[in-house]
Formats: sequence, C-alpha cells, structure tokens
Amino acid sequence: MSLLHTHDLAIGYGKKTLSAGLNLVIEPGQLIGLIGQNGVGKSTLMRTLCGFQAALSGEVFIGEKAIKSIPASELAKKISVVLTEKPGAQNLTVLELISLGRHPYSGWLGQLREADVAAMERAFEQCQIHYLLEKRLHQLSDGQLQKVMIARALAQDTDLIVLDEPTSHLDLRNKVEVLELLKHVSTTGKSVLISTHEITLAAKVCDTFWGMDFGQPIAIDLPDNMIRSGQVKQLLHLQEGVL
Amino acid sequence: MIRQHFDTSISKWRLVFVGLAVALVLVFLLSIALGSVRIPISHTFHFLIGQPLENAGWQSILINFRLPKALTAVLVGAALGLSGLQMQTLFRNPVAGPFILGVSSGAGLGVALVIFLGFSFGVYFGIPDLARDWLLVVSAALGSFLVLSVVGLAAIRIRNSVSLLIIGLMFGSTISAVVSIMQYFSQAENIQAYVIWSFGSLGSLSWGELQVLAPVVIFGCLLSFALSKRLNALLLGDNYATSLGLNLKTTRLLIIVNTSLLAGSVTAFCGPIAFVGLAIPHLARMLFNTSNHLLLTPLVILLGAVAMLIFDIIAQLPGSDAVLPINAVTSLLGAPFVIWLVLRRNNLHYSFDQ
Repeated sequence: MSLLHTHDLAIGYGKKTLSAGLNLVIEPGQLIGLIGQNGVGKSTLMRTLCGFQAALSGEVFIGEKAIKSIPASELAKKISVVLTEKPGAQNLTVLELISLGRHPYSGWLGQLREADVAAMERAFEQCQIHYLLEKRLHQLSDGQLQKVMIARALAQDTDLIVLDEPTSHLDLRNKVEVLELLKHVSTTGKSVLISTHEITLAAKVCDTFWGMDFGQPIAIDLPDNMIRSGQVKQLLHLQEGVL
Repeated sequence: MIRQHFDTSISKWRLVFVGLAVALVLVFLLSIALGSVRIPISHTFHFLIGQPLENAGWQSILINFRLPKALTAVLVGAALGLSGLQMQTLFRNPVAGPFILGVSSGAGLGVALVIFLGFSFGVYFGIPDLARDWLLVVSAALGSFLVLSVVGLAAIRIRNSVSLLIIGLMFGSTISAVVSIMQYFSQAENIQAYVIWSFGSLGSLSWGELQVLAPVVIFGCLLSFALSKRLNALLLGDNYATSLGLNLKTTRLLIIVNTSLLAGSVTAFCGPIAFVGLAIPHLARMLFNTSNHLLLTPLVILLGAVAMLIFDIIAQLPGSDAVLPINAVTSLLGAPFVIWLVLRRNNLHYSFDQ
C-alpha cells in the first residue's frame, strides 16, 4: 500500500488554482525530486501534501485516511518537514533543537523517555553530527545547520520527510553530502520528498522526478528519462544546449 | 552519549536552582529585617520558623506589614517575569512585556472602571472585601486580556520591534485618555483612590487580599509550566510548530489568557509596575544562556522574586523613614537596563532572529 496518495487534488490560494487534477503517489522508501520554475507551485504542493494548507478540491490520503481527518498531533507522527526558513531562536543548542523533534511523543512537560533518547541518538548517528551536539544554531555553517534540521526531522520518526529546497545556499560539497544523506535515509524505508533546482545532482539520487509546469499536468518519470527526453528542458523553459 | 550529556546538564542545573533558592531565602530574610525599624536577622529567622518574638512590636510589624509585603514582592516578581517571558516568545519580540505592550494600562482601565463606576453607584464599599478583591482581579485581567488580544493580533503580523512598541504606546495613551475622562467626571475621593493605585505599591496588601492574589499567581505559574512545551515549539517559528502538531490558535489563546491573568491580577493589587516584566526574562536568558522554557520558567520565577525583593529593599531606603514608590525604583533601574539591552542588540538577535 502506498504511503501517501492524492485523489484529483487541486492546489492554490483562494481563487488562484496553481495545479489541478493531481493523482500523485508516494511509495515507502521512495526519494522524489520535485522540480519546476520558481512560482510554479512547488511549495504550495508540499504545504498541501503536509496538511498545512487546505486543498482547493480533491483529497490527500495518508495510507487510507484522508489527511483532513487526521488530528494535528497524529499527523506530526506521519510527516516531518525541513523548511527554507531558519528556526526562530538561534541560541538553541543543537541538542535542544533535535529534542524538539520528539515534541509529538514526549510527555506533557516535554520530558524525554528512553525511546525518545534512542530516536535522537539514531538521528545524530545517521547525520554524523555528534560533534555539533553542544553548539548553538547561530554558530553553525549553512551546511551544518541543514544536517541538523534533517536530524531534527529524523528524530520526529515519521514515514515521510518533506524538504523545501534542502540544497539551496550550500556549496557543492555540502549539496552532495545532504543529497547523499537523504538517499541514505530513503534506503531505511522512509520516503523523502524534496523540491530542488539542482537537477543534475538530484537526478543521481532521486528515484523519481515530479516535474511541474504552469498549466500542465505534473510529469512523473525516472530522472534520467526526463532529462534525456528533453522534458526537463521543456518544463524549465530552457534554451537548446543547456544540460 | 546524549544520555550522558543530559546527566551532566541535570546536575549543573540542580546546582543553579539550589543556588537561586538559597539567594531567595536570604533576600527574603533581609527584606523583612530591613525597614524604618531595624529588626535583627536572627530574630526574623526565629519568627519565620514559627517562634514567637519577645518584642511584641516587632512581632506585629513582621506579621502585619513586612511578611505580607515580602510575599507580595515574591508573587509580583514571579508573575510579571513570567508574563514578560511568554509575551516575548509569543510575539517573537525582545521588547515585549506587560508594561510596554499596554497590558498594564488595560488592567488600569479595568481597575478604573471598577473604582469609578463602583463609587458612582455607591456599591464599592457596600460589597464584602473578598468579593471586591475578586472583582478587581477579574476586571483588571479582562482589561489586560482585551489589550493583549488586540495588540496580539497586530503583533503576530508585525515582527518589527519599533512598530509593536508604537502600537503598545498608542494603546497606553488611548487608555490613559479614557481614564482621564472618567477622572474628570468623578469626585475627588475616587480620583485619589485611583491615583494612589497608579503609583504602585507592594505594601498595601492585607492578608485577605493576598489570599486572592496568591492562588491566581500560583495557578498562573502552574499553567506556565504546562505551557512550556508549547512555548518551546513556538521557538522554531509558526510553521515548524504546526508541523510538530501544535495547534497555534489554542496555544496563542492559552498564552494570552495566562499572561493577562498574571499581569492583570498583579496590576490590580499593586498598580502598574514598570520594566520588571521586560527585564527579568532577558536577565534569565543572559545569565543562564538558555532558551528552553522548561528551565526559563522556574529561572524567571526565582529571579523575578529575588529582583522584586531587592527593589523593595531599595525602595525602603533602609535606615530612613522615607519610602520611595516601587514604580520609581523599578523604572530608575529598569529603564537604563532596557536602553543597554537595545544597544547591545547584536547579542539579542540570537534569541529572536531579527
């Protein structure tokens, strides 16, 4: 059974429909790259899939359940996010930030149990960030911060992690490291959905590309197929000779 | 590895809290020992552990004046500090605080309505003391709630400190204007009652009034502990907080109710007290370098109580017969602190990302 699927979903704001008739499926362990131009609706689609924003019409299902019918506290155990915005309080320590990932599970005062500590330990291990444990967020480089934010999402222990442009602002080495980390995460059975403009790098790790274009249905294909067939060029409106 | 880290940090924090608790006890003893009549600390200590004093005059001064006043100072410091802490986190704004956001003015409006309308209908002195006290608390809390809700609606959209300050100040002056109009149309004795209230005082509370203030503040403290998990999630920003399963509307409402209750009840009894609510949370963050509300809540309670007791000792001008209004002391010490705070913003922004 799929982890998440949509039925005839339309997304947008108010009267403005960005994309309609979407029937998308996310399988367990899939790493999906969402590509398209700025303003095409990538973030809106992600927000709608996460239940942050209501669909204009149609439904998002997690397993068999419509996302609307899942209480926020339960949904937080199914989907975690890494957003483009930085966390508000920059003087949190890395450990405090990652422990906030256990928010849906921890006690009513936020006290952590053995299972919470174990999940945090796994997140530190997977992201290889033990050495940052006591650092404050404002002391981290962009690449370190991104790994810490991913670790926080991992500590939330959800089946699906949604990341909005996780590689922006990073240098090439950090882009590669973050994408490889996400690939590794997806091999543990979690599904990962990222939006990205790093077509060539993402193509090396993603299982599938979802290509969005203005007024077009979403194109779904293997990354290599999509690049070779010229579809990527088309939906990014690129000139011949690029890519 | 994490478990190990938690263990060392727990023992570190245990030390901090024991230290603060000892400081609180010492300052409390000092505060009831000092005043226009000097009572030796050893005697006040005996008094506190329940031994009757030989000197009946001292006994009476301690029971009827100094003990209720010191207890009031503890409640006021804790309540104002907590409401400032929660406003700063909710509005993600370092200059938020009960006095600056006009919350104290709102409470003042509630109090003014009770005093002026109560007097004009001739019922203010007619009702039992306890009922009147509760009426004051409820109307002051409602006044704060009103102001905080409106300012809150603006502040959630406005992240800019200056704009928020201006809105708070405008609220303050609008409400002062309303209160002036009420004063203009009322008799001298009502005006006197209101003006005396607006000076701020810790010493005017009877044991009966403390029986109203204490449960409200203790309830607010407990609610603050219960809210600290939600407040921590808010530190990440609204979107992350939502993704952690937090209901933003409920959370904001609970915080606004709690802060109005804390700031409103204190203001009802002690008048508008400036700067404590703003400065104490910053002091706690700077001294102990943490943003975690589960730690900040007890830290602010203890620091607020200690600071308020010290302010009160200063206001007593020990050794003299004169007493300064408490609001003058908190403003004299608080205003320079806030100026300094704004000037060294390069450090401040780490807590608020501005």
